[in-house]
Amino acid sequence: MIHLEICSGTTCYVMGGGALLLLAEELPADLAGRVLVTGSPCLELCRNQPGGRRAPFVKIDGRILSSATVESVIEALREALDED
Amino acid sequence: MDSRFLDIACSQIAKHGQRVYGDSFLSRKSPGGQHAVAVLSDGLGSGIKANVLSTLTSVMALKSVTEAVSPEHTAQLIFRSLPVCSERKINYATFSIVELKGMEKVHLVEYENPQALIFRQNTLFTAARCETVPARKDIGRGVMTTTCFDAQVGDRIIMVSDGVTQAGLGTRSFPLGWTLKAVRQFISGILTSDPDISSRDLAEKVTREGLKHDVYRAKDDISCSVTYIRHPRHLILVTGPPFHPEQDELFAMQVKNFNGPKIVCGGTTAMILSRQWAVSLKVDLSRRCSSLPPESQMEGAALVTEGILTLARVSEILCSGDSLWKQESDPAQKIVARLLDADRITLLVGTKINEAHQDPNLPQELDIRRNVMKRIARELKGRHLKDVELTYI
Repeated sequence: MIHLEICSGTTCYVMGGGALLLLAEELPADLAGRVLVTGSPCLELCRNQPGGRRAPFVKIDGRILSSATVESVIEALREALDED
Repeated sequence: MDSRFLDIACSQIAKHGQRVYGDSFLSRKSPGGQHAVAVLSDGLGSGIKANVLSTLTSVMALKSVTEAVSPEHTAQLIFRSLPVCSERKINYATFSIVELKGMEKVHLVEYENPQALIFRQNTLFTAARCETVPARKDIGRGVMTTTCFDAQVGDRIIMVSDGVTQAGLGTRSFPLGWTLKAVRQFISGILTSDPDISSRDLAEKVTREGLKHDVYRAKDDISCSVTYIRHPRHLILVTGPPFHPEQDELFAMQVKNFNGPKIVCGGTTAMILSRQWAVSLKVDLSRRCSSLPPESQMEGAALVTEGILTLARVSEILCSGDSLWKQESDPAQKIVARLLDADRITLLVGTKINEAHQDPNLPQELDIRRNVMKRIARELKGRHLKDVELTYI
C-alpha cells in the first residue's frame, strides 16, 4: 500500500490542491485499493523551498511532489507502484 | 455579577410577499451588560408602512429607556404621540419594552402585544402584572401592562408578535391560530428537552414553527425575541503562529488551559498545538465542501479548520447579517454557529507572517490575518453584542 498525503493548507489549496483532495474518492481503477489517501492540515513545505518548488505539495511515501496536479500525482503513484 | 450574561436575540419572518419586516426589534446593552433594553414593536398592517411605524416606535422606546426614562413613562410618551388609524381607532403600532438593570431588576411594559412569556428554567413564571388604561380620547381601546420582578440566572423573557400567536389562523388545525397558550407549551417542551438552548436558536424555533402553521406562507409578520439571563459561555478562537517560535509552548499552554471550547484556524497553528499537546491531527476528507479546505480533528479542540480563507468567509457571513449562517454545512458556518452561541469570546491571533502568502500569484483575498480578525471582532461586538477580547501573540 502506497501512502499519498495531500496538503490542504491555504497556499496549496488556492494553488490547486483543492482538486487533489478529490483523489480520496476518485482514484483510477488500477490504483484503487493500492493507495492510502490522507490529508494534512499543512505539510509545512510552502516556505523556503529551494529550486523554485511550488505549491501544491503532496507526499508519496514520504517523497515530495511539488506543483502537483491530479495527472502528475496519478503518474507518480503509478511509477511508485511499478518500483514496488 | 461577573457570572451573569445577557443573551438577547430575535428571529423574524416577513409576511409572505413582503420584502421588509412589519415588526421591528431593537436591543442595546451597556458595556458589561449592567443596563439593557430590548423593544419589539409591531406596526399596523405589513410592508413598508408597518416597518416605518414599528421602527419609529422601537427607536423612540430604545433611546428613551437608554437615556434613563422609565419604561412606563416612555410607553406613555409613545402612546400619546403615535399616529392613530382613522378607521379602527387604534394606535398604528403596538410594542413591548423590557429593561434590565444590573442583570437582575426586570421592568417590562407591554402595549397590545401578546403577553410576554417569562420562563424560570423550563417552567412558566408568573410575575405580578399591573394593568392601566392610558387616557387618549381618540383611541377606543388599549391596555398597558407593567411587570416588575427580580430575575434569576436561567430566566428567559420571550416576546412574540401576533404573527406568532395567530399563525395558522383559520386553518383546520388551528382555527383560532396557534394561540399564546400553545406557544407557551411549545416553548416549555423545547426548554425541557434542551434547557441550555441559546436565545438565537429558541427564537428561531418559535418563528419556524409559526411559519409551519401558516403552511410556509406567513400571513403576518412573525417575530420572536428572547432575553436570556445565564452564566456566560466562553470560547477561544486561535489563529496564526506566535511571532517568536520560542513562544509556541506558552501559546499552546494558554490555549490548553482555556476553560471552554477551542477553535483552531490554520494548518500551521494546528500543527504547533498538535506537537505541543502531543495529540494526533487528522484531516477529515469525508467532510469536504466545495469552497473551503476540509476541517481536521484533534483531541482537545472543538473545531480545527484552515486559516485565512475560512476566516475571511466567517467575516463575510458575520458582516452579511443573519441569513447565511443557518446551515452548518461548511467549516466557516460551523465557526459562525459556535461564535454566535458563545457569550465571551477570546480571539488569540498569532502575528507571524506567512511568507508563502506574500506570493503575488496568490489571490488578493488572502488578506492580512490581523485585518480579518479585527473585522470579525468588530462584527461580534457591534452586531451580535458579544464580549470580545482580541489578543495578539
